[in-house]
Formats: sequence, structure tokens, C-alpha cells
Amino acid sequence: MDAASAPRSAPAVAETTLFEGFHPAFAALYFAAVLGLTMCVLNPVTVCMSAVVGFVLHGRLSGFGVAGRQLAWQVGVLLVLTTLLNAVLSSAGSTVLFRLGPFCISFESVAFGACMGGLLVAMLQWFSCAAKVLTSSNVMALLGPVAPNVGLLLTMSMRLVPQFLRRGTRIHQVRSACTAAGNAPVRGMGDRFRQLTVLMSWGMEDSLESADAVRARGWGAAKRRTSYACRRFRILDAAACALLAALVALCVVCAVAACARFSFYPVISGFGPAVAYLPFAALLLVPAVLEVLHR
Amino acid sequence: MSVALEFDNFSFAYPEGTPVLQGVSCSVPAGAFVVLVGETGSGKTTLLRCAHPVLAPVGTRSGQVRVAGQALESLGPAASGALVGMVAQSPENQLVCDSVWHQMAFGLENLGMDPQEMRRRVAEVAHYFGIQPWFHQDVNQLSGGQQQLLNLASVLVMQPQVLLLDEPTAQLDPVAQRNFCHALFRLNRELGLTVVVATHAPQLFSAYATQALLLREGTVVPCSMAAFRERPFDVPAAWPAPTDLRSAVVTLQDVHVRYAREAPPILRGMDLRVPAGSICALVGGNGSGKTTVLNTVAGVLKPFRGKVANTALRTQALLPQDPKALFVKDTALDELMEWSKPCGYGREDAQRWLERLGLQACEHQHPYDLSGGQQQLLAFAKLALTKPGLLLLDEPAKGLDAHSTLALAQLIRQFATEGGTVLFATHNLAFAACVAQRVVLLFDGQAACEEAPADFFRRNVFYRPVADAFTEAFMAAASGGAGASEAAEA
Repeated sequence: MDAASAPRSAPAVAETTLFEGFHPAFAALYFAAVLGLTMCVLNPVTVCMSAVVGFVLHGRLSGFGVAGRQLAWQVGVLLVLTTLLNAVLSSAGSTVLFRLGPFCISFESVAFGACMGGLLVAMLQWFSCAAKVLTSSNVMALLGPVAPNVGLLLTMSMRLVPQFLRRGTRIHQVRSACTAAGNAPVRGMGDRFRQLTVLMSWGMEDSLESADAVRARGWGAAKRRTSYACRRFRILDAAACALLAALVALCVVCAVAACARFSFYPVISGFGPAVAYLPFAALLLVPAVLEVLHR
Repeated sequence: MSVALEFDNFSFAYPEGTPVLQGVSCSVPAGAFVVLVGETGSGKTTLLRCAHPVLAPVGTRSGQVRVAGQALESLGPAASGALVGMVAQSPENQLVCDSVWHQMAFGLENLGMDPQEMRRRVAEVAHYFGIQPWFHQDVNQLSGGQQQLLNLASVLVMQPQVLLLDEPTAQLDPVAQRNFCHALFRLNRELGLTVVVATHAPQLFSAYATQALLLREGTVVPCSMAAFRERPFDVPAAWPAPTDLRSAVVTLQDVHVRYAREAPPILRGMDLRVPAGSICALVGGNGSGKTTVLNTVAGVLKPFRGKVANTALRTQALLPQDPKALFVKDTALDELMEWSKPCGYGREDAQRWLERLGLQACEHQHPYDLSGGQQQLLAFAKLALTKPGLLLLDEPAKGLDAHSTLALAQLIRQFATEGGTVLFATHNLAFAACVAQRVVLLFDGQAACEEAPADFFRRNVFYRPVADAFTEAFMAAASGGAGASEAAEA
């Protein structure tokens, strides 16, 4: 038990109760759909809706402090950077705002840059939400029946990689605390390399014990491993997934027919009918519906 | 099945040629609780592993091993776990899955069991051990005792008939040790499982075991359990307590420490004063903050309130719980020579230390090839060679046998006699009683009391040391030394 890392605290409160009413396949399908649609449709309305709802959901899942801090750097860095870059580097666009030396800054290029930045922000927010909801247990529940060995690889990585990092911190702390040997502060690449060597040797040494423990539990006894299912896929889950799939299909149709026809250059145009955006809005509001249903 | 495990004139030698077991003949009846004792390096681990279908080591063997009447060679990986279960020493290293439920189901998944049947078995064992409240937790959030119980449960879920345990309680704190022993006792008496435990602390099992076997010079002889009964230990009062007039090397005043902003504080108003040249022991339960105090004194952790004064901050050395964090080189001698240039000592000093610790034979061995006790002593030598003013030791006697513990106790005392200050954290009450001049009990983030060991343990009703092989060896050495000094005076 590495003592310098955080001690064993109470487990985090399950903040993902929104999706816990259904099998993880529902959550996986939902996040895949939202992320896919956000990434593929470059339309200011959809990007805006996606970013706002993504931020609200992230705040609901991780707390608005954390979500706000992440949003601040995402907006401050990514959004501003993409807008500036595109404004400077793109010469298309008909409404010229001003000239800056050899560069011609047009309204359309600024808008395009802002839209791309907004899309990046939205994607990052939704990825954070997905990471919070699709915990390793949930991913195991998905992969288990399908690819049990991949699931095992995932669970062992989730166990061993953080342990590796904790040990690295511990080694660094111990060596810098041994000041009688002239060790603090730890300097130079030589020291870092030495610590990495210690870490690798230690890990490999302990892996022998872990390998023995695995073999002592019947590894290789059966040709095909099965998987323990914490949660079974029931009729209700199937019905919910089917409904969700139908909604996603409708969104895709609308996207192809109307939303994706949006163009920035040479003039901003092609918003399409307002009705075409409704299915996507409905898709984004599914977590809100789940929240209302839970109460 | 009346005989669970049988060795019939069994001999084993490792490929390098050193024979470890010579003509071992013993039989373990079904439903027995056997305690296997022997010195470090006598071959207890080898004997247990030779009884396992899959973990049997490579080497030259002769004779027969029979498990539940079947020859060992005829058993395949399916029997590993389903007939014989093995639990090793380190709780953390045996856990390969990240959540408790997965670790429990791991063995059954390997056997390709039907999910419904898996669910049934896991439910049964989880209920028996009371694992239900922490069934969905992350494995690294568990305490050492819980981790070792989880290892036991994950082996039991495969319904073995024989349980082999290799020093399962060596790295646990005393409370967790008792819980684990009691769990084994229940398994043996209620369920009729045959249990074979190799251990350095047979006193823990004296109330439960039905049979004791001693492994000596490659053969097994039965011995009586009466020799291992638990006896209370009278703490010697001979070691003089330091006076407060001496300057303090370490002072903690109202120190509050936490690991992360949102985490609860581990230390809440901790006060500590360690005079120069003294030996101070920190004792307390699991999670009481002993390691946190050491890290705070070393400057690794910064308190968010209170003052830490360490006059030896530039001349200190910290021995971590796992000495492997210090080993960099490929041989023991190179390891001791790593800090020779900044500290100004030579090869002869390093070799002298190796001789002092009885490790001169291991001079050219890789540090990881040494036993746990030898690694601990090597790490101590490495730190001592840097001539620190302050030694911070985290569980220095963990997993050591009596002989190594005695050597360590004598080294620490000598270090203090030569003017160094020692602050160590330990679960081993007997070790603290024999070595320390002051004992500090940590509870609820504060120092509950600070007294000389004799007074501390005399006033305690529940928290007292138990006599074991180390205390006997220590008292023998102390009386031998006292006799020699009396003879010198006469």
C-alpha cells in the first residue's frame, strides 16, 4: 500500500445515477451518437446547442466548479486559437472586416474558426461526460459477453497503470527525502532515468507474484473465458435502445438533408428549416428527460 | 477422502543443484489445520509450491506427492484452484483486477463457468465473508486486511478442498492478522477445509491449529503446538529514557495534514517532540497516520496548518515500507556503493556492513534475489552508510523473522548510542517495546499519549505485546550482554 499517495477514502458518490436505470449499452449508444453527430455536422446552431448541453451535463455529473474550470481553459485557449488561426489563414469570405498587412480578415472566416473551436469545446465536454458515465465496470459489462479477453486486458490495465504511477511518485519522494546522501532537490535527467529504472525493475519483480496468483486461479483451464455479468440486458433496456436508435436515425436523416447543407463561404447561408434541428435537440435533451423520470 | 495431502519420500532440488527437500514424508489428514514452521530459507515456500498442480517449481524431483489421493502430475490447470488453492504473502500483488467483484469472479471466468452459476458462487462466498458492503469498490481503496480477505475469497469461490497459505499474515497489522486467522479457523471447522499455513508467527494460530510440522534440514518432523502458546510479554525497563533537557531534533506543533484539498485531514493537531539521540516509536492502528507523520517530518508532505521543525532536514534518511523503492543497482555491493561519492565512504566500509549483517555471501547477488528480511537489512545498511543525523523508518520489522528482527533492533540501538536520532513507525508492539525509549500512540489524528515503553504497556489493558521468537532472542541477547558486562566489572 503506497502510503504517500492518497489514503483509502470513502468511494465517490455515484453521480451517474442519470444513466443507471438502464444497461450501459444505452449510455454507450447515446454518447456515441451525440459525439458522432456533433463531430460530423458543422453547423453553428447544432454546435452551439451541443456545447451548451454538454457543459450543463458535465456540470451536473462532476460539479460546476470542475466543469467551469475546464470550460474556461477550453474556451480561452482552443476557441480563441482556432478563431484567430482561421481568420488569419483563410482568404475566402466576402465580407471583409479589415486588413492586417498581407492578411485579409473576413467575417466568414472568423465565423468558421469560431464554429470549429466551438465544435472542439463541445466534443471535449461530451468526452468528459462519457468518461464519467462509462466507468470501467460499465465498459466491462459491454465487452464481457463479446470479447472477454479484451475486457480482462482493460481491467488489468485499470489496476496496474495507476499502481505504476503511484509507485513512481513514491520512489521520487523517498529518494528526495534521503537528504543525507545529498539527494534533495532531485536534479537532472540522470536521476529521473535512475528512478524509471527502479520503477521498471520493481514492477517486473512484482509481476512474477501477480502471474503466480493468476495461474493459481485456474488460468488456461478452459478454452474460452466467460464473463461475470453484473447487469443483464433486459426487455426494457432493449426497448430503450431501440427508441434511441430510431431517434438517432431521424437525426441523421435531418442532418444529411438539411443541417449539413450549411456553408460559410462565400456567404453564410443554408440554415434550413427550424424543424430539421428538433430531432437533434431532442437527442441532446435525453439526459434531462431521464432526470425528470427519476424523480 | 481421508488424506488431503501426502508427501511420500519426496525430494526436490532446484536446477542450480542445491537440494532443498530431502526425503520429506508426511501426510495431512482431511480437515486438519496444519501450521508449517521453519527458519528462513528452510524451504517452506518450496514445499507448499511443490504441492500445487500449476505452481510447482522446475527442478529435479523424486518421490510422490498426492493431493486428495491423486498424483500431482495427473492434475492440470483446472485442478489449480478447483482442488488446491494458494494464497501468498503480499496482499496487493495478488490482485489483478481493478474492482472487488471482478477479482472474485476472476477464477470462475478462467474456468469458463456459466454466468448464472458464477453469480451463485460469488454471492455465497461474498455473504460468508461479509464482502457485500464493499463489493463494487475499487481494489486499491481496501485496507491490507480486506485485500488479503479478498484474495482468500477469490480462491474459495472455486471451491478447493485444500488451502495452502504462504505467510498470509506477514504484512498485515495485528487486528487484520486476527481477523484473517479467525476466517481460516471458520473455514476449517465449519466447512471442513484442509488448511496448511507456513508462517513465522505460529503463536497467532496456536488456538486454531490441530497439527504443527517443523521443516528442518530438508525434512519434516512433527512438533507440538504447546511450544507456540501465546504468552504475555513483560517489557524490560532497562533502556534509559531521554531527558527533556536535550535539544529536540524534530518538533511538530499543532500539525494538520491532508493528502488532497477535498480529502479529510489525516493529522488533526499532532504534537511531537523527539530529543536528539533518542529512539521514538509511533504505534497505532491501521490508517492512524503513522506514515503520514514520517512523511511530514521528512518534508515530503506539507501541513496546511501548524509548524514542523526538523533540524536534521539536510541529514536525514527515510526507509520506506517497501525497500525495493531504494534499490537501483544490480548487485548488493553496488547498491551500498551508490552514494559513496557524495558521502565519502569506500568499498571497505560497504563490505564491513555486509559482514555485520551476515550478507557477505550475497555480495554479488541482485537485491531482488535476496529474501524479504535480507532486503530490509540491505536497505538499512544503505541508509546507515550515508551517516544521517535522523533516521526515519517505516515499518522496519515488517515480514522479518526473529533473527533478522533481532539484528535490526541491535543496529538501531547502536545507531542511537553513536548519537543519531531514530523515529520509526511500527505495528509490531514487541519490537517497539524492546527498541524504543519513547512510545507515541496515534489515534484520531493526534498523539494520544507519549510514554516510556514499560509505563505505556503496563498501563494498557488491551494493547499489549505478545511474547514470540524475537522477544525470546532479544531477552537472551540482553541477559547475555548484561552477564558479560557484569563479568567485565568483576
